Amino acid sequence: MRIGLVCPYSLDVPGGVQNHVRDLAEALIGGGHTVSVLAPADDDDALPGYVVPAGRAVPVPYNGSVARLAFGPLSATRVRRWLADGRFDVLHIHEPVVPSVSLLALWAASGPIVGTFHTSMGRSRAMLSAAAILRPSMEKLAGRIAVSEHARSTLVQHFGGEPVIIPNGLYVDRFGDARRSPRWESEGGTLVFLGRMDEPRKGLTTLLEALPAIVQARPGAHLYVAGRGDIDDVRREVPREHREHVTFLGLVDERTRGELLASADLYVAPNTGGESFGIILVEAMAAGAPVLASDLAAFRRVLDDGRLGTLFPVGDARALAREAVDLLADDVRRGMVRKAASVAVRRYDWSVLVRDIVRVYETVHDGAGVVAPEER
Amino acid sequence: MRRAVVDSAYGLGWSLTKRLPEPVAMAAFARLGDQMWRRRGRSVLRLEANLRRARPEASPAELGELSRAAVRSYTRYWCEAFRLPVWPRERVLERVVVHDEHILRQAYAQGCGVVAALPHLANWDLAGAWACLSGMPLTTVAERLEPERLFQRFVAYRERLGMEVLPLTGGSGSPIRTLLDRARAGRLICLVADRDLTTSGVEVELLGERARLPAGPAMVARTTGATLLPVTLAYEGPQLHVTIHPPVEPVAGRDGVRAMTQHVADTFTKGIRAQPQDWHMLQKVFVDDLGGGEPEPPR
Repeated sequence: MRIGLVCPYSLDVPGGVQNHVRDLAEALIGGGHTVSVLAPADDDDALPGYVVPAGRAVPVPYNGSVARLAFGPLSATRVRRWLADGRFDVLHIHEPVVPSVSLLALWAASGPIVGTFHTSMGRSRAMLSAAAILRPSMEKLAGRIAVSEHARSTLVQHFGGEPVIIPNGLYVDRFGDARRSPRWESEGGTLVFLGRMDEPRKGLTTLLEALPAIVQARPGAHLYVAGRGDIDDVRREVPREHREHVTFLGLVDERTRGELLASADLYVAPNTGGESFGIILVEAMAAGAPVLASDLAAFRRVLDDGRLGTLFPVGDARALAREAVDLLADDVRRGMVRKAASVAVRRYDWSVLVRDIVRVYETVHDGAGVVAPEER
Repeated sequence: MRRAVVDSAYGLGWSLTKRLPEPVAMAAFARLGDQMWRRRGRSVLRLEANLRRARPEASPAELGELSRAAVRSYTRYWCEAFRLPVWPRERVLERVVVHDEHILRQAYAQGCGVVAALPHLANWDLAGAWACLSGMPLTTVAERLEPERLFQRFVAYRERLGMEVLPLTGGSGSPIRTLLDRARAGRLICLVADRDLTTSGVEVELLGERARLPAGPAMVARTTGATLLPVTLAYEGPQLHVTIHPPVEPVAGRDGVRAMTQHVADTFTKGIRAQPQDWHMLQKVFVDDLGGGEPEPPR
C-alpha cells in the first residue's frame, strides 16, 4: 500500500507522538509498504529519507511539554502538494485536530483517511468550544484509533464514534538486547529515573524526597537520573549528605538509556499526571527493569493493576520509599515481576501493532479510491 | 464613509460581492475607494487629520497620497469582510502570516485567559478568523452594523468559526461582565482598542499626541489575571501580517490601568508609524480634535 503519515510535531524534538510516527513508518516500510511522512521541519534539517518537511515550526507549549507546530501559508501549500504527489491509498493523520500539518491535512484531503488520537485532555474548555468547528472535518475520518483508554474517552466525549484502541508500541527486542553494564550496578540496588528533570509532572521531586529514607535502609543504593534539565538546580533539592547517592546524567543517548534500564533493579516513574499511555513503562519492562510507578489510571492499566509492577499513591514520597525498600530487598518478587512483564510487553511490539493498524487501513481503503486534495 | 461602503456593497448584493472573482471584486472596491477619496467627505478629512499625526513630516501632496492609499486599504478591508465567509479555511491560512506566534500560544496555553488589543490596522477580522481556525476560539465586541440583517450575517459567519460576538449596544447588559467571565474561563478576547467607544476611556499619548483610548483591555486583564498582548497588523501584498508583541505587565493602583493602556498605545504608535496607510481611523481620536473633551458617537 502507499501510505501517507502526518505528524503534527517536528521530529527533532523527542516525544510520544513523534516516536510513534517514526516507529510506525519504519515498521510499515519493513512490511513492504511505501511510506511518506509529512512533519514540520526546515528544508535543511537532517531527516530520514521518508520524511517530507512541511516548513518552519513554531514552539508551542502543549500538554505540559513544548511542541513545535507548523500551521501557516507555506505549510498549507506543502500539504496540498504532498497529497497530490503522494497518490496515497490511505492517509493516516496523527492528532488530527492539532493546529499544525495534521489539521491542515484533515482540511485538505479527501478519500480514505485514518486518524490516531494520542492525547487525553479531559473536558478542556478550549477543546469543547473548538469541537463544534472541528466536527464537520472529523466526519472525514473513516477510521479512528486511540492509543489508550484515556485518549479514547476524550475522543468519544467530544466527537462520539467508535474508535479502536491500538496502543503505542516499541521494538521489544531492541530493548531486550540491551545489556546490563557494571558501570550502573550498585550493591544496595540501582534505581533509575528517565525524563525531563524540570517538568514538574514527571515527578522527580517526589523521588528525591523519598531518597533519604531509601538510602537509610539501603546504604549502598544509588539513583541515576537521565533527562533534560538544569542539573545544578535539581541537585540542590537533594540534602548535601545524600548527594553521593545520586548521579545526574543529563540527556543520554539511546544506548546508555538501554543499558541503564537493563541494569536497573528498579525503574521509578513518579509522574503526577498528564500521562495518556505510559510508553516509558513498557520500555522499562521490555528492558527487564522492575517498575515502581505512581498510581495514575494510565500506569495502572499498563501494569495490569499491579501484576506487572508496583503502584504507589501519586505524589506520596513516603509510600514510594517504603515500596522501593521492600522491593530492593526481595529478589524473588522482582524476578517474578520481571518475568511476567517480559511476556506481557510482547503485545506492544510493533510486529503486533502494525498488523492491527494495516487491518484498519484495509477496512477504510476497501473500495474508497485514493487520497487526493479536495477541490477548493 | 463606512455607511457608504457598506451600503454600496450591500446594494451591489452581498452574494455578488462574494462570488465575483477576487481581482474583479478588489478592483471594484479600489475604484470605490478612489471615488470616495476624491469626494473629500468629512471622514476622508478626519482620516487625513489622523494620518498627519502618523507622518507629521509629510508634505500636503504626500499626505494626499497617503490618505488615498489608506482609503483603498479601508475598502479592501470591507471587500475581504464580505468575501471572508466564502473563503476556504486554507485561504485564511494562506493570507495570514503571524510573527512571534509563540507569544500568543504560550499565553493561551497557560489557561488564564488572553486579552489581545488591536488597533484598526489592516484586517483585524481576518486575524480573528485565523485565531479561531488555529484552535483559539475568541470573544470580541462589535459595534452594531446597519442594516440589522447585515449585522446578523456578519455575526452568523463569525459564530460558525467559534467566535463569540458581543454587541456593544443593544445586547443584554454591558458586554464587560461577559468579557470578565470569558477571561476567567481562559478564553482569548480580542478588542479593537485604538478608539474609545464609550465615555470611560483613558487619556494617553498616541502618535505623540493626547488621545482617548478604551480602558477595557487593561481593565479586563488586570481584574482577571489574563495576559494582555498588544497586536499590530499590516497588509503586505495579498497577505496580512500579524505581529504579536510581548505581554503588558499588570500595574496596580489607581493609575495602573492608564499606565498599561499607555504601554498598549506605545506599541500601536510603532505599528501605525510603520504602516500608516493601513490605519483605518475615520473618527476623531485625538483630544485636540474632540473639542469639549467628549468623544463623538461612533459612525
